[in-house]
Amino acid sequence: MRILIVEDDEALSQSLRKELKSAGFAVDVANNGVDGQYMGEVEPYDAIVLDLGLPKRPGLEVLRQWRTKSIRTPVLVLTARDAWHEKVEGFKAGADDYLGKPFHTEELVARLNAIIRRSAGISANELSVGTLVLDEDKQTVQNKQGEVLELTGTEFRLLRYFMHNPGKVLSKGRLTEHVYDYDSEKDSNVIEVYIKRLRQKLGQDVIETRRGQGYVFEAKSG
Amino acid sequence: MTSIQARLGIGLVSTLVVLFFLQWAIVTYSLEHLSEEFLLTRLEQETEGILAVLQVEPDGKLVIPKDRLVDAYRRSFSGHYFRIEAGNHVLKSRSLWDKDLPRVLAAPGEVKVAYVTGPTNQPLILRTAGYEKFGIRVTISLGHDLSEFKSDRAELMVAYGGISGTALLLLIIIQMLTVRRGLRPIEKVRAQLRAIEHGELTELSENAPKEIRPLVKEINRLLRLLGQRMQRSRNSLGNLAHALKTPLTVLAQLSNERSIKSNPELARRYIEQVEIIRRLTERELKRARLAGAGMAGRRFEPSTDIPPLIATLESIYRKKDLALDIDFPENAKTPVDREDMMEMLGNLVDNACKWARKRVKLEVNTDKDLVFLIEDDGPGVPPDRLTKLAQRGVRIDEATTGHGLGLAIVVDTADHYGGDVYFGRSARLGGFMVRVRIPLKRST
Repeated sequence: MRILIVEDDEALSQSLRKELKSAGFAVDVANNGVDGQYMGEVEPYDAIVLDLGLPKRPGLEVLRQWRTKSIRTPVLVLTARDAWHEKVEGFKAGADDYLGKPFHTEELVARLNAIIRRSAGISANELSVGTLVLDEDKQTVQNKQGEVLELTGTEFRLLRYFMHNPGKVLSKGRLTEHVYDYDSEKDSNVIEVYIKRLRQKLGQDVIETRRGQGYVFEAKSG
Repeated sequence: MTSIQARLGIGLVSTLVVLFFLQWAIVTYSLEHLSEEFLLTRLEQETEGILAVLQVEPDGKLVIPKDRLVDAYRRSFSGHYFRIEAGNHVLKSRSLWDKDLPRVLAAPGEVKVAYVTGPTNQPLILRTAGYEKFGIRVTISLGHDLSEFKSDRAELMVAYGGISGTALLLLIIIQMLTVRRGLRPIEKVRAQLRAIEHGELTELSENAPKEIRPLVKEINRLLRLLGQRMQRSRNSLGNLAHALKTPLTVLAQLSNERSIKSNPELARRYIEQVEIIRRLTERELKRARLAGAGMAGRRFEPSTDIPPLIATLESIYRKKDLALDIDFPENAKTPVDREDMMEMLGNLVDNACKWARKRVKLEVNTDKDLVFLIEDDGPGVPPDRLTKLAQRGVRIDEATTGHGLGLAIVVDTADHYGGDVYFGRSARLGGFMVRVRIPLKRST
């Protein structure tokens, strides 16, 4: 899952980047409204953390522009301005959730997971496809036999993205975009390596290869 | 005296009354004077007629041939009398019968007028003139009954007085209407001020007569200034909140650092202190943002402001699948600040949603006071804690977890508006119940 953080406070955005990375997200940061809006428009993020008090363009304006341009990426508004009328404005502008500063990282992560799941149309609290159950906190996966398998950071991000989009054909490029942040070395061949590893851990038929198209995560498998 | 209308009314009416009274007095006096003049002229002519036919017999006796006299002088007590005196002889008209007129003497060429009582006690005007005829001095007194004349005049005066009175009354009514019409713009401004107080208008219409336009403009300027000042102060408080809370978030994040986490006691104290700063900042900033009663800001309108708030809360609590039962009056406008009420309602309903199992009920009433009634089917608050909540001055935020800061802000806001907050158990839903009453000043 790839996240955009639009926050002008350097100390906060760096600490958030660190925390969210360790929670299994690929993270990009924009430090002003104009850059944030542009990145939100061109990069395929799975969720955006948006501060409202931004330099160059206010957060609410950025959010409104995204929504008029039909960018439906779930947005969590993160702000010190958390009076109720401001929350109402935020939701009216198209926010999916609202978190007042200061906050606990655990809460931010929980809410991010919730809005990502909601936008993927998953209503359950835990992420499960077929017989696989993903523990997003521990970054582990449980198989049919009830074994809990450890995942590396990239494996976790890749599997989580697959599990959010079961049965869909996902190209290598798309997988790369959602698993790595903007600054990472992007070598689509590396994705093949991680897919191989996931197959080794979860079974060969979990991820099907479609020649020239990409990969399909099969819900029935396990 | 404070009413311009009464002041103008009394001034105009008293002037009119004095004017009409003076006019009435002058007319009365002139009428009396003129009619008397007329009467005296007639009496003079008659006197001269009598003098012309008066004969003095050799023994000095006075004689007037019967056929030369007007009938009225012969009919007894007809109201027309004469008395002629020359030397020792006196000639009275037959109409006097056995009575006499008062004896008035006048030198030749002299005329005397007197008002006397006649033979049948009627008022008489008595004109006496002195002549010299046939070498002797003759005094002729002519009496004329005034009673009929007086009653005619009285009738005339009554008729005249009636017309004058009606005219006066009409003028007074017209003036009252004019005054009221003239003061209508002021009345309009007053109604508009009331509408502003009730939040139905934001400024006065400047389409006012030029006498009060400067006042209207000044009031509008002050209203705008007040609104701008409050907006500015709220904005700067928002900025302050932003400036304080972001570093506070960074501080909170630091508690995840390994070096702090490895020392649980340090981590606990660290988190505790950050939390205290957070609560204090939150409460004081929210308190400072309160507009309070009588301040200009956007007014709270339940039917426009509550639905988006509820929609927001529904998205926040989407996962809980709550049934929110909301009841508020349509098209009601209140004179209280929108942001203050949104904050209060947001905190109350948020609190209820947090603790509710399935149901939350909100009732808003604006009939007399603004009343919010919020109930949930959650665990509620034990009775001993309820009394603590009700105590004034208790720092609720320090005393409790969960029903904390939000309720403290609700109490602060209600205090600010001179209202009150009641905490209890919901009879209908079984959980916590809060009733907030904000008095709506319906001042005139």
